[in-house]
Amino acid sequence: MNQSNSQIAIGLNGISKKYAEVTALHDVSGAIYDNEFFTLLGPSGCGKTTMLRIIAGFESVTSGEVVLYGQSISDLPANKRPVNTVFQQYSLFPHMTVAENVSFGLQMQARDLDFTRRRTAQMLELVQLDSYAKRKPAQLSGGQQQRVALARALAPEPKVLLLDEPLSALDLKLRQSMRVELKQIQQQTGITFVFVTHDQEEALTMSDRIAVMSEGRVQQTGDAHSIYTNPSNLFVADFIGETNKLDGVLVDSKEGAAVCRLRDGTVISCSVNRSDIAANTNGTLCIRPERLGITAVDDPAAVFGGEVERFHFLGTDTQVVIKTSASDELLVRVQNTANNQLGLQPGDRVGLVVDTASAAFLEE
Amino acid sequence: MAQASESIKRYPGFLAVTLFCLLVLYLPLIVVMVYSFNDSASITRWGGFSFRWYQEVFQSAENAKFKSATWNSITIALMAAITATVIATSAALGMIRSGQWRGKASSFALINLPLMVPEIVTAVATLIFFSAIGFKSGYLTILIAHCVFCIPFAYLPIAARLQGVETIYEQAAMDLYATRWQTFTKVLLPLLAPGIISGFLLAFIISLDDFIITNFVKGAGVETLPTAIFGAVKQGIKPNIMAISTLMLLVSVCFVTVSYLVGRRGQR
Amino acid sequence: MAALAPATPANPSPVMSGSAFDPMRRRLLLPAWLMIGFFLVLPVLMMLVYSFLTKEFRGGVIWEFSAASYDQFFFDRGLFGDEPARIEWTYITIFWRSIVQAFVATVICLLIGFPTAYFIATRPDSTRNIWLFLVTVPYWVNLLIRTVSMKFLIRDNGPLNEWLMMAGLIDSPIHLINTNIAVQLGLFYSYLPFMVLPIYASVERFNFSLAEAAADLYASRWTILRRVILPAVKPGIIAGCILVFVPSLGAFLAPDLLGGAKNFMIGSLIEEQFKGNAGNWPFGAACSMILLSMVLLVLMLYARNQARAGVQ
Repeated sequence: MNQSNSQIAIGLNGISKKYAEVTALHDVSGAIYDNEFFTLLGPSGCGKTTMLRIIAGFESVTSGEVVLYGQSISDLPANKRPVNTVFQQYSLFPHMTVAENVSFGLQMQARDLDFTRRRTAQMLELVQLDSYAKRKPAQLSGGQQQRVALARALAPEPKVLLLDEPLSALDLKLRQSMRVELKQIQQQTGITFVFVTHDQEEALTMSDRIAVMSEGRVQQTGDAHSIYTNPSNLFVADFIGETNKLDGVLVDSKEGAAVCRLRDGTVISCSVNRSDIAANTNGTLCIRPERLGITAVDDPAAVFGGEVERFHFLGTDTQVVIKTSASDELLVRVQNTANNQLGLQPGDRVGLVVDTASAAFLEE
Repeated sequence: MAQASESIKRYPGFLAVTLFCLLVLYLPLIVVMVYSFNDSASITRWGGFSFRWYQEVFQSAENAKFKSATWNSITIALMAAITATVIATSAALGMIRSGQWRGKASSFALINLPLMVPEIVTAVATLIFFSAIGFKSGYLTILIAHCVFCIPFAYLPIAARLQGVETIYEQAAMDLYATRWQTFTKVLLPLLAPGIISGFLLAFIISLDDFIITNFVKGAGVETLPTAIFGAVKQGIKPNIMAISTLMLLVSVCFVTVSYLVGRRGQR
Repeated sequence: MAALAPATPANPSPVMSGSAFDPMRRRLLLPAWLMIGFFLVLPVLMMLVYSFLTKEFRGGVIWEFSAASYDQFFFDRGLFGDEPARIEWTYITIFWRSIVQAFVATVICLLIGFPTAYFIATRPDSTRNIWLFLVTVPYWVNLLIRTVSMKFLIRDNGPLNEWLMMAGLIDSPIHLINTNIAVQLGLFYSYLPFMVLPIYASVERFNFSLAEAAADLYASRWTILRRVILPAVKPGIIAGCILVFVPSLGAFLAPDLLGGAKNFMIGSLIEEQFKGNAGNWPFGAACSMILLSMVLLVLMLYARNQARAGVQ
């Protein structure tokens, strides 16, 4: 994505939302670009759905402004915004057929009949449900219903499509195939998608960019890779994927190449999220389990030594829990390839190596 | 296991009580139905099967009174039920589709007030009111009084149905550019239809059923079927009364059956 | 009927009340408020005013303040109103009789209605609706016709007595008409569905795994009913009792057609003030106010009880 050249589809300028007792959003600002698959990711109650409902027009803002392609839409009601939503579940009108559902938006816009008919057929084809046009929603499976909801929301050619956890009601297999389909449809139609989810895997696989939210604030915005590898704070590191968190002190920091000392005295080179962190700052060293490798206890490359506590077999991987002097439970992930038989027993002493630039120091 | 749990639920004698209950409920109605076909003018002796009392209901000059009463009853019930259903649908939207606000509980109590005030008290109050403002008793006063007490009967099924319809459908419609009125007519109204139909039928039957309030506000000369029957019964139960009763009974059973079937379809 | 519907639960969270119709709730509610406010609340207030006016002999009132109606209800001052006041028992007796009749009718409806409601609620899904349908059909039949049918059936020379005599069970007709029993039968017949429906609703919601748990802990069938099921369905029972008691108290048709003069109840007393020869509007208004106060008292006690149950 070449964002710097892209037009801004949605601009969020200092959005706050307060309810009687809780503040759902604290002064959120940001930009979503044209033709982007943008994901709001966070645990439940983080404000991501509220944000989406504010963009859709179902909630008013306490302060701030929503800008759609250069025009403020904060004062427009939901039915005047060129933005459509795919709801979490059960939002298809049960008394209408699939085709009537899909054409509903076009009819409300009073588009001409011929266009409505063609567009409806085209949308049903897009979601591969052309043969189901005359059915009622209750006669469809959950996956099919969600595809009709998608077709219905896309039919009026919205400038932005909002998706509120659309896959959460589906089972795992269906969810996985719908991810691929959603991404394809986004690329085919070229419409900006704003996708809300609490499922990090969903976010990582589909999104061009992700905004990780927590407690009404955006914690970090970036593409999947940068969020995973360079989390800007502990919440993001913890929420996305698994991570080993080790207490440490920053010893030295120069141009991104820093050194950190752990509580047992081990010194380890690491990256820092900000270049201006002073030496002797307390913080946490994060290392992803798959970036640790097991080696012989006397391997000179080993950074830590430790004792194998137990194993968790996870199918593609095995998770090894190792007790070290720097941490009671250090997680290491080893892929279960044919030539990678661990041959370890609980109680064995092993050495651990860390890939270069895989340890990230985050200040407290 | 299913059987074990069934037997825990079961109490000896409850079936017998239920059957006794149904017997008490149905016996008088069945007896009147049967005796309405009694050829004998002496209403207690069975004199053979005959339609003569039904013929008399439709033909006899004496029964012109019943014809106009029937007409009044049906037109009043129809108009009162339609008005009450419209008002109740609007009120249900206002109650069920609003968040918390001060006075919501009072509003609920006000809408259901006609159910809480004893009928005879409503009758007295309405009579006094119309007489105090100098409004002449007659057809119109009956109609107004019926509209008022039909509102909660129409409201309850509609509100119950509306509670089962999630707001997400309205949001989806608004999201797809529907105006508020389009959202109501194209989405909510079809989804509410079973509730609205039962509400209307209930209001209609309740209006048709009313005796006490009508008897107070009707004034001289205007009769509905119940007041006409009551007047006739005061002189003794004659066979033609039983024929009329049987006809009304059949109408009621038709209504309740339709309402039951609509309700069942609505559940699906 | 009001209590058949559970008290409207408020929309669970303010976030979800995002209905298009929330902003216009006042306009939506206005027709109902106006209609009931103008044609019921205002008339009741007017009735209160009338109860303090002076009677006009041919019906109607003279606009002069007077507490005579309430005085007449409670006190006897002799024919010319110059004797020392004694308690007037005539009307108090009528009210007391009405309360007793309504109470007995409620108890009978409960004794018959509970097993019926319980039986129906524990039927399998396939037949439950049919049973329910059978119990509710008579409610839809015109109350006057039901009462007249009952009168016809139980008359001294009516079909019931005739059958019993033909079967040789009795020698002479049982005299039922114009007795308390006939009134009870009429009230029972009028309001039984009001008892069955709310109890049915709460038994249907009852989680029978609780009964199984009690059985597992060695409780007998009747102990389960008494200690586990009855406490759980109590709200339905109370609602049913109120729905029977309140209309029974002001009932007119059953006492008038089946009870005769000796079993005069409040309804007939009030009706007589407006229709009969003894016409006295202020007194009728006063009796109506007293009846309304009693009913509102019962409903308020119920509402308080409900609120307390809600807090727990």
